[in-house]
Amino acid sequence: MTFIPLFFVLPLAAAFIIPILGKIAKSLIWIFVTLVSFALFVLALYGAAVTQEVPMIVYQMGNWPPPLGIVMAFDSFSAFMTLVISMLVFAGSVFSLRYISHYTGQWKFYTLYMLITAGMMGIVITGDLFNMFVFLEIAAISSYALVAFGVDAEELEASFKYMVMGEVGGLTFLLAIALLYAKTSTLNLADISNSLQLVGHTPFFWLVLGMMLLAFSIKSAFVPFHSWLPDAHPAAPAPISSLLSGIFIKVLGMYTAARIIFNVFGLSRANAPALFNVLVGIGLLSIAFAGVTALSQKDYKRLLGYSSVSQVGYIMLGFGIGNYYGVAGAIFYILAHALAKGLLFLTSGSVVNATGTRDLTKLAGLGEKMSTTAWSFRFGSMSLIGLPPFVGFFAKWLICLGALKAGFGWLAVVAIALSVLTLSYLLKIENSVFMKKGKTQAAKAPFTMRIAMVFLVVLIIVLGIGFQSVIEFIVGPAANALLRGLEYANLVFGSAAVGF
Amino acid sequence: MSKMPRERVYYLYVALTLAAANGVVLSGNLIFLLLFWNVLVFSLYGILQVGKVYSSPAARKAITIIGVSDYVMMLGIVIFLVKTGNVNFPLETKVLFTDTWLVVSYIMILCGVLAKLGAVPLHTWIPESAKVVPASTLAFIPGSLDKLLGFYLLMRLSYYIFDITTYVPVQMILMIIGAVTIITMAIMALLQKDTQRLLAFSTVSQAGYMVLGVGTGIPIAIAGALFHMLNNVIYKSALFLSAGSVEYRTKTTDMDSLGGLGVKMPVTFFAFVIAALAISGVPPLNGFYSKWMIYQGIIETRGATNVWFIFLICAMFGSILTLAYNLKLIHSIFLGERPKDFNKVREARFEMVVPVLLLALGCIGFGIFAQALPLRYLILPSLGFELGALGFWSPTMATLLIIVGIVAGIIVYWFGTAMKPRRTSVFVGGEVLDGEEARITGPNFYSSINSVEMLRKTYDFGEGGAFDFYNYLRGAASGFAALSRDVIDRIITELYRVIGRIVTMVGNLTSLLHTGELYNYVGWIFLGGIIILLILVL
Repeated sequence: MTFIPLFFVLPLAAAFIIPILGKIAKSLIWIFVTLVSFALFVLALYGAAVTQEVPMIVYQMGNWPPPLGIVMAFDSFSAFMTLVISMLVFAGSVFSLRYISHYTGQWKFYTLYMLITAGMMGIVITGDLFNMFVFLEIAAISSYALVAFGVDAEELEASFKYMVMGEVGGLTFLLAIALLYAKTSTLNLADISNSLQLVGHTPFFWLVLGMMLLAFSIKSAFVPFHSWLPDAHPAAPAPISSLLSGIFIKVLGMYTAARIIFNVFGLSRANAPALFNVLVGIGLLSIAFAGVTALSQKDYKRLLGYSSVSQVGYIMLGFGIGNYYGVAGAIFYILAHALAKGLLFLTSGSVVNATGTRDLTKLAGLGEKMSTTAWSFRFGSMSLIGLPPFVGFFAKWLICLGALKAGFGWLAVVAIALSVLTLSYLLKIENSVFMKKGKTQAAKAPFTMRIAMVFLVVLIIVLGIGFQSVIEFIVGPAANALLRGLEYANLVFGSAAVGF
Repeated sequence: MSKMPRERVYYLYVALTLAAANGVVLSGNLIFLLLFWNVLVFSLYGILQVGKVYSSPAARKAITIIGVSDYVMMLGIVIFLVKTGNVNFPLETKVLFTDTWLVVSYIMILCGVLAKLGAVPLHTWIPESAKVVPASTLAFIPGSLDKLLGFYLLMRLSYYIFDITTYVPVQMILMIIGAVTIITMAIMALLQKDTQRLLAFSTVSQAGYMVLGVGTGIPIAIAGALFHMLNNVIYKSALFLSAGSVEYRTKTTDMDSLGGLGVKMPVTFFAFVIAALAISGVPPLNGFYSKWMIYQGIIETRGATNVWFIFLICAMFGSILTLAYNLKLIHSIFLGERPKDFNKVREARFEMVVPVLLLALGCIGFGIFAQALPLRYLILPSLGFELGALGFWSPTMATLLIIVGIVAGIIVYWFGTAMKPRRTSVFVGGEVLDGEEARITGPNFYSSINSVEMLRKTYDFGEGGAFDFYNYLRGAASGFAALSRDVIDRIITELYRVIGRIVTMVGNLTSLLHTGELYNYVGWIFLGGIIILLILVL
């Protein structure tokens, strides 16, 4: 199956073509980027269809079999992630046309945009630990640059803080990889998994895992590692905020953590209750702390940033519960939050584009002037709060179901009770920006911006109503791929042997 | 209809009602049935909102009464489910009343049925609505469809799910409800001054016959009740629609101001008289045949109860009252002197006359060919049991019954008129008597009933709303509302305020923690990292 590398090659190649294209015909850049993102979306759909039949597709670089050669391992979970990434990348690129038009150096923006996409795609398809680190750094460094894209003082400061903290995480990850390599003499995920079985649950094992968990917690911004996010995400241009909050933190933090904990270290609630309790603890702390903090924000995007910290807590909660429903719920929540938060950041971009400010105290009365934006915000909020029949409800419901089945009734109650916080901080924006009467000058959002927002709204509604198919074909297989645990290694070697 | 506000909404609800009604009769499961049943409540509410005048209070009353009854019915179904573990029907072996809970369950489900049928004491929303909604609504919902559905479930419940033939107390309950409904509602109808209201009460009264027939547990009476329901749909629709035609032309339903329209609207007049005679049970129209079957069934219960003749007298007497109020209607609308305003009234529009006429012809056809057509092809196949004495006509019994009816009529006559004759003299006194003023209108035909002590009491009670449990319900609800507003609400509001304040305070505090200084943030990271490592490694 040779289409696997395309996920990574396509955006990377695009990133290098864009500067050349920028010299020849600037107007073609946007069309090119949009086409590439759409191609990625189609490719991801194809990947999801293929993984219905085959549990694991392995691509061997230069036909060297693992563990000697570098492999790309593509299973249902990877397929799910590529799908979510490509949805947001597509919406973001459509949105960018008018939003980026008042920045200089558009080709730089689009190059970085494609690089960040390539990095994220690489992370989710690779089967090699060091490759994972490299892709992670590609994505991270592109994101540092994109956060600073506006080169104002505020943006540069945010980017600098983000870079320092991000690199603390990245280097911790590198250190953990070095330690693992010293112990197991291999970097292939499947091979590490096999070797670690011989090591057993020693303090070394936990030390490495703890360091990785620390690294991923910084990348996905759990409390108390979150402090870069509320600065960095608002500073970035809106399509980038949408991408960063929507999917970036989940690919860099959640996907990697889940893959390594479940498939490489082979842990489950049964054999490592302490770890999973830590995950639940981190999740709850994030939900509550960031949710409460979001309530007192006065900046549209900063509030949404805190909201992201709070929402990824739910995902961690789902993984921490550790049974099928919890994990499936967490994965579904990745999708739900990606769509909803991506959409909310796009609405913020639309508002900033029209009014030039993100200050909630200055914005008012946009509900009638920008009705598409307002309604997109409302649909996104309803999904994020968890109202049926939107996609967010079913994700939250699965997590609560998981908590009940695992015997944590209180956890389900707390998780639902804490979503009142989500309701209240989103109502704060709704109330001041869209509902309140006011005279803020604003024009309608441009056509392409509205297209991007409506695309996500339609996805939120359609995937919510068709939640059964989503669970059956996309989320369920992804959860099973994670819960397969150590089978992962056998599948990689087995698939490599038969040539998948 | 076309002058009505929100006319299009009306048709939406009509379609919804039809869909849900079909759902009710097609479901073979009590839960599904309940689902469609509740859709009907919703659509009824919607349809009643489309009124001639402001009809919200009437609609609210209807939804309250039916909603509460349906809730009771739902609990009944739950009890049934718990006790028998099955909600599918018809059952191979019918449920017998072996357990008190089963009796309770039957009676609770019966509440939903009675509310639909409009039997006493759950009928009060019908006359209330009759004042404010158009005739077509009345003919469609409380006049025919609700009767159909209520009767359908009553039959299903009594003979396909439970088997009431083996349990006399339940039969007695049904028969008493039926008899009381017939009499009280007929008397109420007798005294109305508004055509629509009168017909609405009449509808409820007719529902009593169906309940009574089903309650006997005798096959012929059950078949009679089913036939009566079919007939009721036909002639009650005809009556409502022709009253509607009259209203369309004259813009009034007040009997005082109507009169003498028989010449002007001959076809409507004809249809109305046929339907009125049919509903009063005059042979050979269809109403006679179905009532006769019910009487026969009541007589056959004499083995089981000692008081069968009371029910029989009630049924017969109700029939007489039916004739009486129909005569009043005919007189006040079509006979008597015509007010001058109506001299230019024409026959109703063609598309209004045709359905009424067809319905009237249906009354005649179903009466003359009762055994050959409706009973043979509609009623008996749907019941699925043999009727022993279907073709049996007992002249002695019929004569006896008619004599009883006449005697009862004489009693009414005595009590009403003979003992206190009303004498009014027309003074001319040199003045030219205005025809308008000397007009004898219908509404006061039976006002002498007011002077019969017992009947007057009943009437006063009824008009005063004593039968109306809606009033009690509303009292209780407003009491609870006051309590919750002044006590519970205030506590909750305070609680919200306090919690809101605390959360905002914590939020401000945590935002203060975000100083924006990098070394602080990195410090948090190391602190968190150390904690995680400690937990995991130790």
